[in-house]
Amino acid sequence: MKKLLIADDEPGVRALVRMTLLSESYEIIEATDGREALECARDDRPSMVLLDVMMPGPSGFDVCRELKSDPATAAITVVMLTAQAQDYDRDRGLAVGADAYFTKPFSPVALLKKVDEVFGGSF
Amino acid sequence: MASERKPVNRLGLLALIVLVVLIGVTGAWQVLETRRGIGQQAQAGNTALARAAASAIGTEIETQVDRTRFMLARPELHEIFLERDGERAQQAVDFIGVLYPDFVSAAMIDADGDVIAAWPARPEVIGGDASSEEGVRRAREVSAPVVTGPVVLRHGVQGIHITGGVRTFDGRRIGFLRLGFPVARFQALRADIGVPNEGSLFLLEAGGRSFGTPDEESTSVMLPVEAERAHGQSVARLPGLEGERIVGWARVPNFDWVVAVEQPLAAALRPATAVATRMGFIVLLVSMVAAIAAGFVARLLRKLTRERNRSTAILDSLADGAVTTDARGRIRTMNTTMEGYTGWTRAEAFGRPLSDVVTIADEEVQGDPLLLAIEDGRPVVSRGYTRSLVARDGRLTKIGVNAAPITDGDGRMIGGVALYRDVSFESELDQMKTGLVSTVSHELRTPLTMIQGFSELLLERDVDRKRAREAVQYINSSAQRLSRLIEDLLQVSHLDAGRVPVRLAPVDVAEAAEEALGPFLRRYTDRLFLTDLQGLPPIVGDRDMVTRILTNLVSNAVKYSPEGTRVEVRGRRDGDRVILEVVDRGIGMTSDEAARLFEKFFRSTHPDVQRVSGTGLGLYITRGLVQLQGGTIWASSQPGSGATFTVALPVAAADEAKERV
Repeated sequence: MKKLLIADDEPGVRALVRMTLLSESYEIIEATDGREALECARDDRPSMVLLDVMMPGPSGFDVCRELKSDPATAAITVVMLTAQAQDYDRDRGLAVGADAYFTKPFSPVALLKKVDEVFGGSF
Repeated sequence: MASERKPVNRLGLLALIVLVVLIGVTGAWQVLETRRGIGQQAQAGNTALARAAASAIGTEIETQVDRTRFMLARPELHEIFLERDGERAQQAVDFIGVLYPDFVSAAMIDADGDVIAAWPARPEVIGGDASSEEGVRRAREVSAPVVTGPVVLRHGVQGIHITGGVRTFDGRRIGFLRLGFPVARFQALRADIGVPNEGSLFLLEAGGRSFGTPDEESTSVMLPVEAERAHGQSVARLPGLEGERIVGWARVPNFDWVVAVEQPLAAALRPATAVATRMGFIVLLVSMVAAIAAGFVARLLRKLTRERNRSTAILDSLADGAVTTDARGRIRTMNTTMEGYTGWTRAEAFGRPLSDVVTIADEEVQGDPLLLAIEDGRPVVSRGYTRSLVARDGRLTKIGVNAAPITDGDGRMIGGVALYRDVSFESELDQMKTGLVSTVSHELRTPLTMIQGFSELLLERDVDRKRAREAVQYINSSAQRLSRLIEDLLQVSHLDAGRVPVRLAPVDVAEAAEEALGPFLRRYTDRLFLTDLQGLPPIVGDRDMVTRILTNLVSNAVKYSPEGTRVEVRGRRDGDRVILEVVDRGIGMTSDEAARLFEKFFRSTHPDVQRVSGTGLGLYITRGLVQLQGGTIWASSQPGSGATFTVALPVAAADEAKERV
């Protein structure tokens, strides 16, 4: 079962991701903030994490940094979701080790393609 | 800066005094030197005159002696003496008197010393003094005529006697001829020798007895000064003459006489006095000119100081920091504000390179704007909020810099000037704006994500009915959310710009509450309760705004408190105000949150709050509306025990209706 964690404080965004990936029989785990995201990532070991940048508590960048610096979670593919579109933020994302970057509003189809890519390769 | 004037004035005065003293001393020295020189010159001159006179006198005496000798050799004289012919003797002396008018007396004296004949024929006036007898006595001893004197000739005229003996062939002395010659007749004393200014010429015996002055009417002056002793002395006091005299001496050759040429010191020094007077005038003139010039300079300096003080005062009154440098970037002036920014005093900074004192840390650009302006010769204006000034103690101040080169009238660059402005406030504002833009951007994009995302899904994928409906619900609610957000943003923008029209009128609170909260009452029948709103006096307010305020607060209250909990709206009068309270029993908030509640986009981080959609602008708008009506709003709460939002609005005085835009 391909596990995927979506961390976003907006229930609508979480629902969108769930609906996007529904038919592909991915297991979707939801987290509503950064702290919860780190917990789930460590406990459930998803293969991929979709991180919203702007969350209460630890931000998406913080979570990404944490995941990448922890050998237990470093292998997880991290995709950042953000409403900021400037190079500054993209660079920051890459600096903390994010594997991909999607700006909101994003195309669900494009997201699906990316997820398939990632999971297609490892199985 | 009066204290700065005094040293300048004192300095100027000192300089003036020194100048005058210098000139005075130089002048005095000059005068003394001139005096000495003139004194020496006068003495030398007098000596030369004396010598010339002495020499001339000596020559002339010789001439008269020769004449006498000639007469002594006349045989007629022999005959007269031998015959002792009185009549003929008288004729002879008369003849001599006519023949030689230079002689004023003539006498024929026998061998015993008795006068045989005399001219003029008044024997009693002919000097019987020692001098004339001496002449005969000495003539007995020598063969050549003898000169004696001074002696008083007729009418008190000073002169000499020339006495010569007449001998026979065999050497027997038979008589004497005595001739009287006045000193005045000495030609040398008359025309050839000039007597110095106010001075006189004396003919003195070696013993110091004077023959008197060339003036025929003068009386004899006996000078007991011994010629030898006085000889060589340039300035002497001579008895009978007033004051100090410059005296030149010379001996008459072959005679025991001395010629003295004297001149009053004052007369001799008159040229020196003239010089001194001139000097004095010059000194006075120069002093006056110097004083005037000094006065001008002092005035100019004062003016310059005043100008400088004025410039300094202007610079010091600026709220911004101001620095000027020379063309090489070394600091010349620094105003008070800049001293505060940098931690250097202007005295310490003077002459130092700019970078020593003004250290700028820039996140983006390297190089100091002022130095750049000087280099490029163009003004440099800094933009943005990336520059900070580093003070001596390490303090950072965000600054904006306006720098420009200073050129003089000929277009030459003589330095640079820069203004440093504290832009901490603007920087913060800018940051806030940037933050706000990010937040708004985020707030807008979130519902857009759902609209775009779900609609794309519906278009591209096959979705079952249930999920399709869910998707469309999200689309719809997100659209509404967007709409509300845009509304709120506009409202906030208007509030910030002060462009919200307010129509104040008496408003009945109970009525407004019914109207505003009707829908809520219907929806939350068992939760929402209005109490104590009847019987409140009317308030002064804008009815629409009051409605809006109540709606916002109640909406928040029901949103952010759990299902089933009670929300109350109650009112009371407090003096000249009406107090409205909206009380909920929700999660409450910390005092920190309570303080920030009314900020733009502020939302509590509590998940129960975050769960509910909200723009974070509602309370900001609510407060704005309250304040526009002259009221106040605040919140109080304890975590876990709900919150109370209180609004105070002014009570209406009778018949009050104002319209404010």
